[in-house]
Amino acid sequence: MNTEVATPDNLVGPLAVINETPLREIRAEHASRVVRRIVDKESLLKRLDVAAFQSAH
Amino acid sequence: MPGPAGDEAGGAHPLSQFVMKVHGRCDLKCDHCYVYEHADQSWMIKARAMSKDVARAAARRVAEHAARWRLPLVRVVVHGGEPLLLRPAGLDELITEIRTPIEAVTRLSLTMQTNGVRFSPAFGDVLKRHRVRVGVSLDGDREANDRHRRFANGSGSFDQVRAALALLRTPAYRDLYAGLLCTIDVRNSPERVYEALLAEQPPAVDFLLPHATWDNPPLRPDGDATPYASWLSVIHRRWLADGRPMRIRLFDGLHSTARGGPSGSEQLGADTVDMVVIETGGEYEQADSVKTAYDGAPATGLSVLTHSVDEVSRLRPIAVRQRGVAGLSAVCRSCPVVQQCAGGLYAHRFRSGHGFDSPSVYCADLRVLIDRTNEETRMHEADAKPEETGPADVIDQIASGFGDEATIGWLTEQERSVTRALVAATVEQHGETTGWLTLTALEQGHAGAVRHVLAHPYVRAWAVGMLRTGDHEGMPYLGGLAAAAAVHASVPVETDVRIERGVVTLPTVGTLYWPEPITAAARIAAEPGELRLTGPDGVVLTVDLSQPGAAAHWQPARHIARDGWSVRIEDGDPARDCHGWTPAQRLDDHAVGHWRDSLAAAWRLIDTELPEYAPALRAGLKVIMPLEPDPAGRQRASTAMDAFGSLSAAPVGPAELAVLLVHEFQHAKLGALLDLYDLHDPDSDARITVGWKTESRPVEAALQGVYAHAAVADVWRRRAARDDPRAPELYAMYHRWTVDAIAALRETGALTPLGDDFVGRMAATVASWDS
Repeated sequence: MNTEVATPDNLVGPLAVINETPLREIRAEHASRVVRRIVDKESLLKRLDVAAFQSAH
Repeated sequence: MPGPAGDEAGGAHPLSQFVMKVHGRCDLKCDHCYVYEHADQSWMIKARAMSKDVARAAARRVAEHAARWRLPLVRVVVHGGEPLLLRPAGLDELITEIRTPIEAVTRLSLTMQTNGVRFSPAFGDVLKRHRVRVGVSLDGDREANDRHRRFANGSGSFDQVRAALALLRTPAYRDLYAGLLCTIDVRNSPERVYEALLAEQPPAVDFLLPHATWDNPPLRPDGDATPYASWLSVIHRRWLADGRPMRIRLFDGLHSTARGGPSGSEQLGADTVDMVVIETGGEYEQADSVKTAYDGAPATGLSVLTHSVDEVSRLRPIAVRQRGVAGLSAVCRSCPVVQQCAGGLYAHRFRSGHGFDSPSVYCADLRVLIDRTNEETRMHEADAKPEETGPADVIDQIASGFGDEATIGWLTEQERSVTRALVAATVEQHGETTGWLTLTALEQGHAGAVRHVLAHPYVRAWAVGMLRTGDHEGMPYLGGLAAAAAVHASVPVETDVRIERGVVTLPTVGTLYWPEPITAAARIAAEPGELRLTGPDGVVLTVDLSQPGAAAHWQPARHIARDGWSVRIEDGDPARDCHGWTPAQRLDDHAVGHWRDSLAAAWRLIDTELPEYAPALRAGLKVIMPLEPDPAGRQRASTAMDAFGSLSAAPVGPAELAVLLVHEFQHAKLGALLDLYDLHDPDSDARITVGWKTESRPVEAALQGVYAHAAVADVWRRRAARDDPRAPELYAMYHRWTVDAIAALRETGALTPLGDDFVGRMAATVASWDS
């Protein structure tokens, strides 16, 4: 299993924040997180490869 | 020096990650790069680029290894040098060579690590076709990034990398965006680096300690014995205070290992490293990071042209990485934080005369960082308000098949948050419009009115469409939302809207019908008690809101309510066309009367026959979207994933409608749950044979089908008890479908632990019926 399971502390917490924030002040990174999960659902939360970041260049 | 790489250390073992160097040169000349600037200088004698023959041989070796060890997944990282130095066509050819043999035997996850400066739509299209996710190197703000990441002529790469990231964030390529890799330089401001990375909205960030060894220790400015711990702690505290707006793998790993979990990284933690590098000429090598140790350090002497992956896996330097804590130095093994640190990155342990059998050259920093991170996390969690994680039994409630009003109310709130975030994202993507400005201005004094309008189920469907297509033409929909909110708030506004095939919708208020089915820009003025729509040629439609009735050009929202049930009939909003069936056009009073009668009778049946399903339906179902009837007279109904709270159906009698309401709202409940929690592995290619479809179904579809059909089985079980003659046969059929599909789902191995639990509870409910 290579899925990082979405749990309350990595999604629902930010959603609660969004619901309390005026539309104009919703932070792009919070919205982006939701966009990734809902709009790009198929690619969401795939775990980054260990090797992908083992080597910088 | 360590023992010769050719030493064998026992039997073969599986390796599942392969870094393929598809190009050996780079278009940047970063002075912190270990490929060109550190001890190992073997790049000078290696092939410039990987040939198709080498790629094919490498992929065959990987495939052969995956088949022998029955690996469920192989990860390949397309790497360099700089992989984008291959032109798009070259990259396309090489990835095709890599994919073909591997995908014949197992699943393949492809990622690419790049400096990003050459990234273009042409590359994006190739990577999208092959589903290659992209990690980009960025060291922070301009000053931080350009300190090291420069071209040969000395100019910085910051602008080019940001342009690449902007392209990666567009709808066309967003699902390729894997994250950012930032190499630390403690002379940079950690706050500015953090803010610059956050501004790029990455799904994840990883911080890399600059490669160093005991022979070549890292930069340590005077006055701080552990500058790397200090630098990272600044970011950790800020990240916690910000509510962890992006994943930071180093911190996620430390939080996980503090609880005894895996680190997900080889920088810290005792995860086994089952990875090998394949160089441009086919040479197998150890992880690139050991290039920092000494010239020739990563070499194995083996090649894909002559040796199998099994043979590589037996080599001592590869095998030793499998031993976790047991393979560490005595100093490390006696350290109290060894499970969280595990000696840090292997390469950082090198010391001449001792090989890699030492603690990390960053040992002091790592110890302080781990202790401080643990303590900061504890303090933050102690101070933080309890997170709104929902009713403790939300999974139980939904898995039971029902869900009480509190649970459904909570899920509804989460769905509203999702919609708000998506609406905000459309503006982030397409820019502000007059509708948006009006809506946000209204929210300042009339938040309740805006909230009411945003609860319209098809707002999300519209936003998802805008974000997926990238087409900004539909943005004036926000003007309709603003005008609707203004009507609720009795506040005058004027804003742009669009006549869409003859319709302007003001969700929750009503629909304006232009005399012709045109699509054109228009402007709407909402005054207390009046609407004025000005369209092409200055034609104006006026609506007197004090008059409750409909007119040729105006249809006020129609509600059907009875005994605590209430829904709105939605037959105007163009965004409602997301159910896979043709929506009915504007209903006349007779058709609405039919719905009123059918719904009233169906609700009575649910209240009496299926009372456990009633609370969720009452709390969550707010809109019925009528469909065109099926020409052959078959039932039509559907629930759209992006329209929680609505249900579409063709006209049907009360008994069928009751079953249909229960069945369809099961999909809505589970859909809302799946928005928040992963019940299955989205990467799984498993297909499941189910009773209700001739073709096999993917995991999520099968899960949805099981959940909904279990409820239908329950309906017929109850009707059997009331001597309905059709019930025994129908119950048996739905029951069998449900039981068989539950068993098949469990056999896929594609359920997460949460999903396993969910399906287990469903199975227990179904099993209880037999008794």
